[in-house]
Amino acid sequence: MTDLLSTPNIGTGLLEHRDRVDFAALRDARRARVLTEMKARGLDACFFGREANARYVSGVRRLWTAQTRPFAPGCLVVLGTGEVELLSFSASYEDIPAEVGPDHFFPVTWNPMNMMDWFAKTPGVLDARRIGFDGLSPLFEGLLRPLLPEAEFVGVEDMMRDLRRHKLPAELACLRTAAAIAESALYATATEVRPGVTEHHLRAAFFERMCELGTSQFAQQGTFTVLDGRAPLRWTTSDRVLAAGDVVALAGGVLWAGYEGSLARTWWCGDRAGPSKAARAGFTRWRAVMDRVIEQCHIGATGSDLRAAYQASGEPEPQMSIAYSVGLGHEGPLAGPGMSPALERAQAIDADMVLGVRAFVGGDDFGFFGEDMVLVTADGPVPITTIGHGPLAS
Amino acid sequence: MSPELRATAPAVDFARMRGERRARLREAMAANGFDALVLIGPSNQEYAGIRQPTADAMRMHHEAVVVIITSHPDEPPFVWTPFPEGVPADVPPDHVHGPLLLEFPEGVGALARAIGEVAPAAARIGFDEITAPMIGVLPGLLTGIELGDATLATGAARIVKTPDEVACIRHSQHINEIAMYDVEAALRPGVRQNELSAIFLRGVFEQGASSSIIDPIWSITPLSVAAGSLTANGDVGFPLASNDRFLREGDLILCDTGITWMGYHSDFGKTWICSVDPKPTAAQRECFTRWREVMEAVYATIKPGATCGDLVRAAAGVEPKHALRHFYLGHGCGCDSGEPPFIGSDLGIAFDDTVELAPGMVFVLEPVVWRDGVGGYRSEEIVVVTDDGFDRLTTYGYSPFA
Repeated sequence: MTDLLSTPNIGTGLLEHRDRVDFAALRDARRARVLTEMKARGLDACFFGREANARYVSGVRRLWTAQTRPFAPGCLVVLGTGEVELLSFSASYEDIPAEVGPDHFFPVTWNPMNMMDWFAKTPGVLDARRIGFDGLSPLFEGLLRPLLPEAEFVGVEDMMRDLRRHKLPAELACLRTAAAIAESALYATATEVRPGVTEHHLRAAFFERMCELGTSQFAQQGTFTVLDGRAPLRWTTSDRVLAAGDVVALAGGVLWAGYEGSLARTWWCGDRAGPSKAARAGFTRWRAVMDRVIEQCHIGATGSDLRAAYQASGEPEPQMSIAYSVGLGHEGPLAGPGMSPALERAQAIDADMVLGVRAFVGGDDFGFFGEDMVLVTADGPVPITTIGHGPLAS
Repeated sequence: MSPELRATAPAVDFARMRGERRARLREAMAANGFDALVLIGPSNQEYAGIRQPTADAMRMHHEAVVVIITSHPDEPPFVWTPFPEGVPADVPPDHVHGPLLLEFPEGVGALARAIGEVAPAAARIGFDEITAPMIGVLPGLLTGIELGDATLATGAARIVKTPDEVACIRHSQHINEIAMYDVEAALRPGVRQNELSAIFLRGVFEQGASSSIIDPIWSITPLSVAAGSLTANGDVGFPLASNDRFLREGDLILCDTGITWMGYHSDFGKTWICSVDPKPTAAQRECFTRWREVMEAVYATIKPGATCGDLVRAAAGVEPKHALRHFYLGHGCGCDSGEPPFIGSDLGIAFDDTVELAPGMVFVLEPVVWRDGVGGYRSEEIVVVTDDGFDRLTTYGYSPFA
């Protein structure tokens, strides 16, 4: 009760969240996993510049921005003390979890030398011999090497990726919530698909509904574009006006508590007559590809099996990845363009992974794009996104 | 939103803009001794003329674009991308390739081979970012090549904007402002932060914004530091992340939003009061009056040849203490919303004095006047330095203070 009285303005969602997810326990569990892995890899300290990694290890909810930012080591973890140090963009303790004490946060600085002073004062940093980084920049490398002349610098994005790909039960609850928001926003968008509206309007509808549902942070800017089956999927939403008979790709993603919910559907824009047989054929072909790929989302399979399943469908491979790990944001592709067969074989599929699986089929007149989230379990793949496909699938 | 309230896109010559930016990049490369730049950061790629969808950072790391620009004046950029539609027609097909996955060692190896092919004689190459699999590995893969900081060149090129770039920023800000009129009209007790975000995002996307680039901020700001949450510097906590908080009668709201249009950023900050009849107190109006005096002093200083240090001294001459010590008096704005130079930041006045104003520089000026116990006033104003002074790109007013 005291806790509630001290935070009188917490909205309504948080009360629900506390029933659903014990975030303090989740933060403890995630941090423990990182510290265990650091010990196993002989890492005395890790600097994280990527927001998802910082959030994984600390639970910090800093101001979200789109795009990658220039690297800045805003989160520091020291194995010996088990402490997490955080940079606060607002200078406020408000969005910093209670277990990161008030002596362990630092106001944002525009002067990298101030960050070097902060690191030098943090117990366990100057005598660290092996230090992990999830990224770097020439500027920070040039400042950190002289500060830590004896230390070996090691890339640890792979460590974080492997940890993050294996979900804890509470993370699955977060992912399901994010997926529900994304589905709801996408369905609200689908109801706006009609002749005379612009692609921009559809995107506006998605983001408006996303915010109304409680999160204003998106995972992707979204694709709301009329499909021309003969051309590749167009990613950039335009001011094109929808006409009766168009089929429209609707793809969007949201973040909730940092976790991503993303999906895509293709919707019929038409009159009461409904889609033609030719338009429906796109869905049938898409479904066949997805069924083949999702069937391979089982323990012991690899990205290579997903690629083989896609190829076996006979459909040309798309320009985007076929499958990727979904969690605290995007956690890397399992199969897709730019990956060698060996790299795809190295992407092991395991229990409690959540995969984003997607397929695009073109055609003479129509195309179909769709994406779903799938949970890998001992009993096989379980769909997380489940909303239907509307008239094209009827 | 009624259709007549939509911002009309300006007539920008995008081909000319790309050409002028690449020429500026090559000039800055020459000044810094670079034979090639490897650009991994999205805003630097945008500057080199390569577009891509905006997404959360983790998605962008894994659906990443790589751009290499060489010092040869007629060589188009080389691009590795999962989004070929973001490559303009002035880049020939033989310069465009499938993605390089720099989050995996094999992608870094492929990058090293690509560098050998497109810049075989390069002696010095700049990188703007280093991905984890590059750490400790890159020098061994690029033996005989000196590796440097590409941001020395991109920063020098990007600081002065061409007229086309200024037109893009102006339009981006226009879209942002039109959406904010709808938000301000909805600022009534009982509305929630996420509902304001809904109105804002709907408004900017209806008008064709490329993306929203920060989580819209509706910071409910206590009237005294002591009444707020603990801060690391004893100052006002800002910007606090938004969620589903209810806004209440009389809340002082410091808002901050930003979008992009064709890669160029807006930056909108105002101080509002949540009320059915918003009326600042006399003391709050004095904060606003002082803020205006600060701005007038800074405006009077902006001209080519002055330094950023002169702007800082002009502001301090009116209001010695700048609230929000973790912020600054201002910053650049272009392909990033907060880009160098940072003015009046903890880099210090000696740094500010090294930056001389030149026509085409675009700054966001955002002084904050704070009177503890009263509250304060903050607004962001975008200006472009002209041959004889400056133009304002921000047009939004100051209700309910003015």
